[in-house]
Amino acid sequence: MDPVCVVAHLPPGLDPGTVGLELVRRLFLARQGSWPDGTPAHPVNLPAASAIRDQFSREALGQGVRELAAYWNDRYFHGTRPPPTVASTEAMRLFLARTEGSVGYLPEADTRSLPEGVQRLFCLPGPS
Amino acid sequence: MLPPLRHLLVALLAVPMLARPSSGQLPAPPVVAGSSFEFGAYGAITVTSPEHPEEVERPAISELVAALMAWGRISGRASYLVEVDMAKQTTATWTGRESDERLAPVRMYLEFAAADLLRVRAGRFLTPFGRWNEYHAEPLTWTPTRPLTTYRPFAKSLTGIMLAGEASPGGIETGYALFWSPFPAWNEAFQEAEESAFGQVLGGRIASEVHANLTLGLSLAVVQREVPEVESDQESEPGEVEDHGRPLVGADIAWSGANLDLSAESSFLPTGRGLPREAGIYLQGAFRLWSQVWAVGRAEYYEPVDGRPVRTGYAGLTIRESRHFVVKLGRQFSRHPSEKLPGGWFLSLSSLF
Repeated sequence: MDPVCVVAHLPPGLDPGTVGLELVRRLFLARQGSWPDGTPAHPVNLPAASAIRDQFSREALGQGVRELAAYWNDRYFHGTRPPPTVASTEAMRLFLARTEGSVGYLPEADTRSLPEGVQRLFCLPGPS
Repeated sequence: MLPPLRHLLVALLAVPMLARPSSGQLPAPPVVAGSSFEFGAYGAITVTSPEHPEEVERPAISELVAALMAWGRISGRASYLVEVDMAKQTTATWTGRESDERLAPVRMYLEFAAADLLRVRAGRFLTPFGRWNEYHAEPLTWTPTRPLTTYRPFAKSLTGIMLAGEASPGGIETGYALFWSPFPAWNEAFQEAEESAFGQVLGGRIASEVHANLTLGLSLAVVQREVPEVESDQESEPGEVEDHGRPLVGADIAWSGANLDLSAESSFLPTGRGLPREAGIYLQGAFRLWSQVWAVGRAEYYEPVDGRPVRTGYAGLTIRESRHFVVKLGRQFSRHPSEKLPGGWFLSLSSLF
């Protein structure tokens, strides 16, 4: 399986070097809602059944999609849903291009050419 | 003969490797809404065949809950959440008697997120003491009964102000909540019958995900409670607010993996003005048998109930197909079963949607 890479449309002036795996994890677990400069962050997922999403979930969030269900059920009770989903990797590219402050993930092969304003931050190491 | 200590240490260190890292829950999680209005609800029905010295009662509905929730984003940094219990009949009250509230605001607050490390919440919210209380909805818990430790010593909700936030110092996810309810009238207006009620309270909780699948929490509050009907003596009249604050201390721990979930909480409230001390601790474990079927067990010690310590246990099965459908069937054991704390079988159906 291709490595999964984190891609984002960062706010202007935000240093990509300040965005690491820990920050991405907090954004996708809704534990943090903004970038280090205070601007709102907009994480976006692929569908729950997507193998790419499950790979990202395991490698970046520490658990697969299914295993995070209990976490999101608890957070739902407190008014939080998981990040919104888009239907495909192409939809992901479109969302990132149109939404400043957004962050998502794509297979490495899909990150070799990205829309304007979207950049690849880092790739996940893959299963050990 | 015990194995060498080094073998035990290696085994203990290996235990976390049996489970995948999980995401623990920190105090007072924020509302993260994508729009100005979102809607949810949950409901539960519990049928009990209680046993106590007086008699073995026929199965009957012991718990009936229906709650509506609404939440949303007011601006980039402001949000709100409301939860109203449309109907409630429950035995999880201070005195064990049923509370027939038809319309009760459990939560109703505004929140402003100045930063991820500082959110200000004002209104009525779940008391961030211990771990269970903030996630007490029936579809989220493992058992159809609630440990005494998680509701006897403090009010489940309070009306006041809270500061809360999260950070990850040194890569350790940590959250805190500081809460203050200075006026008894704020709580009396929403007090549910026969519940532990705050007069005034000042407290806080801090919790950290010290390992990828291990969360530790500490809670501390200075509480002036409304004297309950039971357990009081001539020094304090029931319904009066205690004239001195007492320190309430609690600790909690949770360890969660793909097939195993362990948790424990404790609380301690010293004596005051003729009112007895209160102390409790429970240990609970859930083990996945197959697919979504889990075996669940719990043991608890709490004092006092009717002037003496009680020991209760629970054993049963929980099926968590999804949050939309949760079934729990088990038996509660009580060394001194009473009408207030019966033993017997419990069957619960609940849903969060």
